[in-house]
Amino acid sequence: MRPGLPSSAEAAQVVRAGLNMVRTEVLPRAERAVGVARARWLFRAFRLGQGVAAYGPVTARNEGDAELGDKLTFLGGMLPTSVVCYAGARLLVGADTQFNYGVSLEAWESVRIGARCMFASFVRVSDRDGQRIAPIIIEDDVWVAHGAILLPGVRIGARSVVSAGSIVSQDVPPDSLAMGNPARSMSLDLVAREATGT
Amino acid sequence: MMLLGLGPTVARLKLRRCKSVGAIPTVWGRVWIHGEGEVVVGHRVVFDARLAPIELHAQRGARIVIEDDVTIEGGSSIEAQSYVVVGARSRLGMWCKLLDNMYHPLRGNRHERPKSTPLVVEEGVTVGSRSILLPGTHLQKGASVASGTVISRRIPPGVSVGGSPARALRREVAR
Amino acid sequence: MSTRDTLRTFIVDTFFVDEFGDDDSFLRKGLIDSTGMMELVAFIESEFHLKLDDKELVPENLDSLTRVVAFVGRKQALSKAS
Repeated sequence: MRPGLPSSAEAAQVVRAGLNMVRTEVLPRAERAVGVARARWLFRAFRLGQGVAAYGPVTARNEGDAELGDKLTFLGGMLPTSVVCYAGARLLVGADTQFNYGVSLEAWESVRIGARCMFASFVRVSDRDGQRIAPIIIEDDVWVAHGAILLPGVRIGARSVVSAGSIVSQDVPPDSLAMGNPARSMSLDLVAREATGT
Repeated sequence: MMLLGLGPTVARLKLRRCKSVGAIPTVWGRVWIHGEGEVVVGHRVVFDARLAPIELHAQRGARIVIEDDVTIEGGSSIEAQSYVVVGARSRLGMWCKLLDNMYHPLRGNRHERPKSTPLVVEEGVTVGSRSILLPGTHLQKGASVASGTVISRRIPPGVSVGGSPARALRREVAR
Repeated sequence: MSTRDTLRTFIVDTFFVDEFGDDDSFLRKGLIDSTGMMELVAFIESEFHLKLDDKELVPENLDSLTRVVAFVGRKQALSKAS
């Protein structure tokens, strides 16, 4: 018996496997490539690290000295993210930091963000309010949850968490959880076991 | 469109990614439905997204249930990993956020995903704008939530709460 | 009402937990979550007219009913002394 054309079932299987591979392998890579290309274009006025990807619209403006680290991620969604660095200001974002949609990051004097931070949707960071301008420092591994607002002059310690909807007006020590309006911080030992969730 | 009586038809078209849509839906503006879970919409639901889009995000295996006569205003976002239900005649204000999962653990590896807790909003609840309902929220019948409130636990029937974290402002007299 | 009873009543009323011992860790038993802990702190401040410093919000002070009662007692003694 000589090998003839594959049967329709076999052909369908091959096609399905092919489609599946396109879905799981090719599309995410294509999306990533598009994201990286888009980030290169959007952040053309910034000093940019390797592998920064923007998966959605980002309003980016740099008139001062802004530097973004490697492998940042800007996710897309309902609202554009905005990253603005005004004239004479310094904006520094560490590597591997992730931004969800609608984050607004404004630097009038100095904003420093460490590595591996996470910014959830609608977080607002601005070092200027109506009265004053004071630098903001966010250390490494900080997670700022949905809708939190960081006021000028705060320093968020490493590995801390700013809980959803809080308004942070004072410094947050390392390894703590800031919550409420105005935010108070408490030790993470009080609310979370080591290496597990809440 | 509305003059032509095409409103519900257009709304159905905008809600085509839902598993089922009840009678006479109203959609103004854009509703962004994504994820692989199922979204069930009841009768006469109003999505008023003229000022900002509404997000309904049900991940694989998750379920969002929006019961009859619910009004959802613009900028609200419902994200489900397991189950979120919004009861009949409830109202969600602008920029509300309903989450049934924290998405990241407080300590340890931030890329793991913690367990999710279903979020229940019972009937006749009013949620003010910019409120955040965290996992484990259970708003019982007739509760009302002031704007900008952050909640993560059960609120008894008829109680109005406000602030961050939430405090009871007023208890309704039994009718 | 004693401090212990006041606190216990508040915890039972607010967090809907009734079966817990005085030495049970709030965290390990999952009795109170992080938002609840903030509410407990706010309650202690308003009920006993104390001002808690953020540095005092650690498990040694607040993780079980016994610890909270002892902590409130210490704070009250301190505020009386000053």
